[in-house]
Amino acid sequence: MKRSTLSNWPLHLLLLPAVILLLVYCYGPMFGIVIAFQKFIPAKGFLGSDWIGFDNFRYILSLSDMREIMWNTVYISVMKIIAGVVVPLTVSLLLNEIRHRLFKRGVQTLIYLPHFLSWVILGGILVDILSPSTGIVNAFLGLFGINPVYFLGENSWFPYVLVISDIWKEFGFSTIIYLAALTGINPSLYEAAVMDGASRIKQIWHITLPGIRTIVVLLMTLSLGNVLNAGFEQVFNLYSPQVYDSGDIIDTYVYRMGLISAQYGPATAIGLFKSVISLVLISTTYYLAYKFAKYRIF
Amino acid sequence: MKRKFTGILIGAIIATLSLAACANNSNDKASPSPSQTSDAPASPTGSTGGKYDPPITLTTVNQSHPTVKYADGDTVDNNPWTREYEDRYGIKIKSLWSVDATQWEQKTNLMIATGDIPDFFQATPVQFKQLAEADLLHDLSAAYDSAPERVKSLLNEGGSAALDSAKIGGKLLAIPFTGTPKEGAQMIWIRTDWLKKVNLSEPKTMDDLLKISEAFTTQDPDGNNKNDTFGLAVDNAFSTLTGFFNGFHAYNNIWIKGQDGKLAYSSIQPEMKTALGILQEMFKNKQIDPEFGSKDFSKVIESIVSGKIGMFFNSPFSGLYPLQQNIDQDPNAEWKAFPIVSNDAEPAKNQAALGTIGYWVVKKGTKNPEALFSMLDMWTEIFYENKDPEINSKFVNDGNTEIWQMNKIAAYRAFKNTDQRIKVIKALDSGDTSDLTGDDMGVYDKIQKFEAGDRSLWGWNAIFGKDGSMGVTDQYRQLNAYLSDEFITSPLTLMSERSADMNKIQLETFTKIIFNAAPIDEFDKFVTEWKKRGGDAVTEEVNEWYANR
Amino acid sequence: MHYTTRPMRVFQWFNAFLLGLLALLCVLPIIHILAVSFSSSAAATAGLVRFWPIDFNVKSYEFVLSSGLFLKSLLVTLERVGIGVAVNMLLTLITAYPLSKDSERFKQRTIYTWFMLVTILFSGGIVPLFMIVRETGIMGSIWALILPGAVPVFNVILLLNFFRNLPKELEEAAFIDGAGHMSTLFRIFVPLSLPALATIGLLTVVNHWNAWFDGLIFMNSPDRYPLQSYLQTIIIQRDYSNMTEQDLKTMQLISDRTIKSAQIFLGALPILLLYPFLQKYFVTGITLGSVKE
Repeated sequence: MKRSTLSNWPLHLLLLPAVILLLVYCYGPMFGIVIAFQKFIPAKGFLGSDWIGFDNFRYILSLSDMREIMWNTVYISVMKIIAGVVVPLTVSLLLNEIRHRLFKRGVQTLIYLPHFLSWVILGGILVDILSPSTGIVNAFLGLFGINPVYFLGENSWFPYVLVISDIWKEFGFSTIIYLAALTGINPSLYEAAVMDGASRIKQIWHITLPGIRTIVVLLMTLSLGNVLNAGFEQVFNLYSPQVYDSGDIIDTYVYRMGLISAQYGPATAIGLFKSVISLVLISTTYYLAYKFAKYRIF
Repeated sequence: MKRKFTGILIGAIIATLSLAACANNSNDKASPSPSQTSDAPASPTGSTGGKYDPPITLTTVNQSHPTVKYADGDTVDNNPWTREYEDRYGIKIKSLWSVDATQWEQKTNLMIATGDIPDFFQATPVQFKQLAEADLLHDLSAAYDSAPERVKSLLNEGGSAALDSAKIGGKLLAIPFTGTPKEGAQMIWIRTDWLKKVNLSEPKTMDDLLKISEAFTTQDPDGNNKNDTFGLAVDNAFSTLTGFFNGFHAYNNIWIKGQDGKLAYSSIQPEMKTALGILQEMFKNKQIDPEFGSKDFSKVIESIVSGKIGMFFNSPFSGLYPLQQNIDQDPNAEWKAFPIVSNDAEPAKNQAALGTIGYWVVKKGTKNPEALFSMLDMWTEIFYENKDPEINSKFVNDGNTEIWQMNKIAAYRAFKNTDQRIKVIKALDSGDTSDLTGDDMGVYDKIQKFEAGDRSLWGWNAIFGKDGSMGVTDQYRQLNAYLSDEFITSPLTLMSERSADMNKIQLETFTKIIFNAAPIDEFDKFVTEWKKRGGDAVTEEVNEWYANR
Repeated sequence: MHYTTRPMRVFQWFNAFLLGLLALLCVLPIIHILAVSFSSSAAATAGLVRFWPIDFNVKSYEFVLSSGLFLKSLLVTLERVGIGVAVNMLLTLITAYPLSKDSERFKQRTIYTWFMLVTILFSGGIVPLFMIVRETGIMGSIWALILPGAVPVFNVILLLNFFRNLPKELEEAAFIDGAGHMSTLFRIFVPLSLPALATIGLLTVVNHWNAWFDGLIFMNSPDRYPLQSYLQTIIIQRDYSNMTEQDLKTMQLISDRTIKSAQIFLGALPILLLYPFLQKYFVTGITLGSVKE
């Protein structure tokens, strides 16, 4: 038992810098959460602003369309979270099957590009390509006799446009992590499987997927923290009053709330609410995984 | 997941918060920036008398502009303007920091929250009121009384509303950074080459206008044998409809005085319903782009520049952008600005907001508040009254950079461009340019070049020429064809809280009605709902303010 | 080696076709944006540009590059990326290593992990952060862009998961050989996790490269803006309905559409070049090939 001679104090020491930095720059500013319970006015500061208890939360709940906005946010973000794991994972598995190295690297690089475009620019481009009268997408659908669809103007389509365009922009970049995880799988496992005569599909099912399972579960769990973030930049650049019914989300609403004058109190209250929800979701997942699978997700 | 990747620095919550806060800036980004001088008489210089000895130092914070380049060795605190302040008045400037205009409100809010307020700076209307309420501002009433006349007349050129808005409890607590809301009032820009083609004359009434719209839609004015043109430009925020609404005596998003002497919200009045009804008809008749709902102003511009739309309501400056782009694209295109038209015998009035860009506030206890008026006097003299080309290139524009933006305090004249056009066309008629300043000469030359056949300068002629849009503005001014927003203070408490909720239903309803997705009577439901969502309470709040103004 | 069956070959072709199509879908808009950035303002404003510039010119690039601030801000960004990535990576390594231990071995690890996780979920907002940055005396310096985000918690959690997947035997063997924690981390964990480290390194570089908001808020003068902050300031976000004479004069020369497009390429090009370079660390199995279980 030579191991026991290694004490744990070096481990604590290694963590010390991070702990100090987080205490100062992350926990330190958390006193600002009090804004959620204040009528915060910059000119009065934290000490001078009035304390109003839960009024900011009550105010948020009093907003006429809160239920609809919540639903939109969750609906859009859940679709994004699921697709945001499934698509990059699938693509990385497919890429993993490509043996032509140059082609593989080429594809990898090209699909990683859209991550660097801004939604301001993409918004304008999407209006063009999705236009019912002149857009290429409807022209293509027209070949199959499908009537033009007003993707950006119809509530029945708008959320899906958001999800698909978001996935298009980010799947390549997200693929990177899965590709890194795939490299961690021991090749000898595949060799053994081939000896046993396992088909490629079986290899994927029995070796590849289990090999990256922990990373997939981790990313899934952490993305639960985004269940109330449906992507402000994107929605803001694509939505319009026509699709408020299906596309107005918490963040766009908060943005409009601050248009006339910055509403620090309600905005912080909503932020706090989102944080609590995220924490609950993530810790529940963590607890369940530990209880039933004896596995710590992180 | 991407948010997690990028969320290392500041978490998603902050991002939302900061977006919410920094996005406000889009409202006060407009910086009317007339760089020409006017025909106002040159007044004796240095009329403010004394020079501080020893020199005083004022601290401030600075808004930086991407178009400003400092000469070698110059800095934000040492440049032609600051040197002149010091030479003339013995005023030294010290900037605590500079920030880009897009982050102005955010950064000044942070500054205010941490309590590091400089001697003077440009506050937003909301900040101004909050600073005043926190009793952090210096009373400028006395300093204003002894201010140079030139400054007083500059601040009052657009009416007294700007100064009134800077008074709280009878005290003048700020110098308003006056803008040019009246000069920017909308007019009808029409493609006159299309007008000829469809054999119609310029619009005098709303009926004329609707006929033009119909003809532009159905009579293939671009001659490509396709039914692909629209009569009227509409964007999804309705910013191109203000003048159209005004033609029905309907006003969008302002507070007007009702017959009972009380203030009422303009967008819920019956006139608005009439206007929306007409728009719905126009939409049904395909005179409005069926995809307008997803097109913001820049997308609408695309349609205009590519020759799909022949009529739009916009500011007099549209000649330079986007219409010049259409002229560049299409050698046959020709546009002209006309005054807005009325749907009945009563002439139409343009709605005019207060248009104050910000408020120059002075920290309580600052020793020399009158120094600000001296600096503002120098601004007026150099920027608006100077005729010496040398001074012009030293302080205003040397052809390379916008030196005038190095000023530390400014305010804009309400009708500078309107006056400039009058002067320029007079000189064009007489050939006598002796009365023109360097900047007037620039416009004069451009119009002459245009008349000699240079169509790349078409926009200048469309604005400052004989038939230019500034002529329409002049007409508005003479008839005083304005209806001012009566609400001239920063947003009140309930208003700030409720506006998002109320505006949402307004935008949705208007869009649905125009889009013919809802019958016109939906408007009445909207009015009821608007009142229920806080409209009634806000109206009460506004009237309370109005009564105690 | 095992792609000899016919369905397998069909799959290979189909797969290549599918991925090729995806890549094409990703690259077409980029070609379009590139074309717009080299087109005239009028053509771009009219929406006429497809995949080839119309009235080819480089005015937008001139506008962006002409200001001395471009070069200055590029240097600031390089400084930021250099220091920031070094700090981030070092902290990620030394933080992820202890947290990757079993809880039987290092009981407090779970507490530490949650302590860190909370920081990516909760935040007090920009106002208190601004105050802290000011109080710690780093306002206006390059450290204001580095220290508040010095511990990339997401990356730490990612890396600790990679570390946990490494064969335990290696670590134990190292300890038996008398190696300490530091040498185990740098001699064994690091070399075995190169793909993960390359990934995290890339995320860190991209993060520092793309950040613009903190630069605008924490730097006291535009002279000290990083590149993305500077680029952010040249797109004057205009209120179109209320444009002023000055805006219009600028817009006449260069439309914001062409500038935004040029901005993307000037801002992203250096970082785009990084990925192909890093790809050599993503070769399956090489790192672990020698490890027998």
